[in-house]
Amino acid sequence: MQADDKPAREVVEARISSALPELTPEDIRSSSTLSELGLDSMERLDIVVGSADDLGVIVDPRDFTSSNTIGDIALQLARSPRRSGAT
Amino acid sequence: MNRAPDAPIGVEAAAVYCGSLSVSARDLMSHRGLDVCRAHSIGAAKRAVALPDEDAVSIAATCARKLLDSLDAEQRQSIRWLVFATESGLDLSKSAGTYLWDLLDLPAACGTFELKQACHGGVAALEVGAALAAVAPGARVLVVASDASTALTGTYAEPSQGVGAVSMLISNSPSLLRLNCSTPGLHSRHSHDFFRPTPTLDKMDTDQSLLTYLGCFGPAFRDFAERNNTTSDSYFMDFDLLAMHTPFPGMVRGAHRQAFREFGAPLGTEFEADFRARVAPSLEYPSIVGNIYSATILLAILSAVRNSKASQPSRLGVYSYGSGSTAEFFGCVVQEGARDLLGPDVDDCLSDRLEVTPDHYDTLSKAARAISAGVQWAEPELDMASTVRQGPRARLARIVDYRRVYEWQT
Repeated sequence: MQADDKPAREVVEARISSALPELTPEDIRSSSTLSELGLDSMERLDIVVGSADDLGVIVDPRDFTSSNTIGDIALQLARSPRRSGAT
Repeated sequence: MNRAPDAPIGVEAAAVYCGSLSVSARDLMSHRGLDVCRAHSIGAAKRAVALPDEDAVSIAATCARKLLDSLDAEQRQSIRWLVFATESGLDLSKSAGTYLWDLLDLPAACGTFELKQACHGGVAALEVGAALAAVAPGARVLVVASDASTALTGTYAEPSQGVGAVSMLISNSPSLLRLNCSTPGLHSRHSHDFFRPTPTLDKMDTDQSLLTYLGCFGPAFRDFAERNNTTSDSYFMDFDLLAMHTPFPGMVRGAHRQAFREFGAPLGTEFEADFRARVAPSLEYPSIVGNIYSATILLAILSAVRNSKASQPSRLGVYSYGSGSTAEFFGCVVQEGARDLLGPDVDDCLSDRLEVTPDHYDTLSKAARAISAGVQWAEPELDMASTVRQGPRARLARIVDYRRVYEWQT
């Protein structure tokens, strides 16, 4: 079954916009990696972990690599299991 | 059983050697054309650098000799085991500990072995050492963790890696640190976040590594809390100081922030103030050495000890992480007076290093590859900076048909 990654993509994009307010929505393309946008490793970590928190999911680190695009990240978050107690 | 289970076991004395040279992290970033603004996020000020005749064994020997030279003959004879943690091993069969045993002139009735679990190796060695000391009353165990990073040339990881060793003497007179105070919390998961498939190749996925480090932190701490009949509030209430594996100081800041997020800090606990008071003391040494892999967590522990209160014991929480991966959280007690017992030797050893230029560092990195594991013949040259260190220094004199020959330079 294909996971609906639209909510996850919106959360990730919101996190990126918050970290890089100078970017326009058009700059944040699904095919870009976070590194390509100029984010350092700790900022990338904050975006993935923060997005997972916002979505109430548990990430499996093995699904997230440095070469992941924004689209990949959103899809993995959409597929991640929900935390117990998360709504 | 010869000993009650709660008899104190721990670290009686400790020493550090992180090379005689260092390079500025900012200068190296600038030299590589990297964005120097990121230095703040990484949090590293200097990277320790090895001389052309120093490998994991010689660095370990220089470090451990500082401890052994302060022992009398009877105390030396009481050393029953040498446990050597490294992920910079020199041979797939012959333990690096056998070279070290010889260099240190340890008793024949002293066993040795090498231990590896990436950066968790140092804590694993500490715990194995404590277990060995606990079953042999009066015995001492010498634990040494020593590593040399590959260059990771041109990456943002390069300025925050280093070389160095930490040695600790474990016994039932733990003047510095009592270890057996709690049941450790553990968490493992399989990962290829960092590995070293050949002696000169570090394979690393930065994002996966940071996420795994962080992803193991919560489960390891929750396992600790459960096994010690406490709650996640314990992270905030039960430890005066915290030391964590420090691949770079910025990562530790991230882990502490994760604790606030995941465990829910008690009302009134403010992140910055809490970080400065309980975590930052452990980062002082790692920030001027770099990541020394299995030895990093031990260096962070000593940094916390050196910054502890002299007049009373301090409860220290330790998070150890080794790629691959295994993580552990445990509690220990920094003994009253430990700060002064550790003394200024470590501070002096780190501040006395000669700072080299990035060009010189590049020359030294190339020289390090010439003596890496698997090299059959070599005769490293004495670098012009070889005389900078005061006191005895072990050096690799030559490699003869894979056999490493070391000597002392006094």
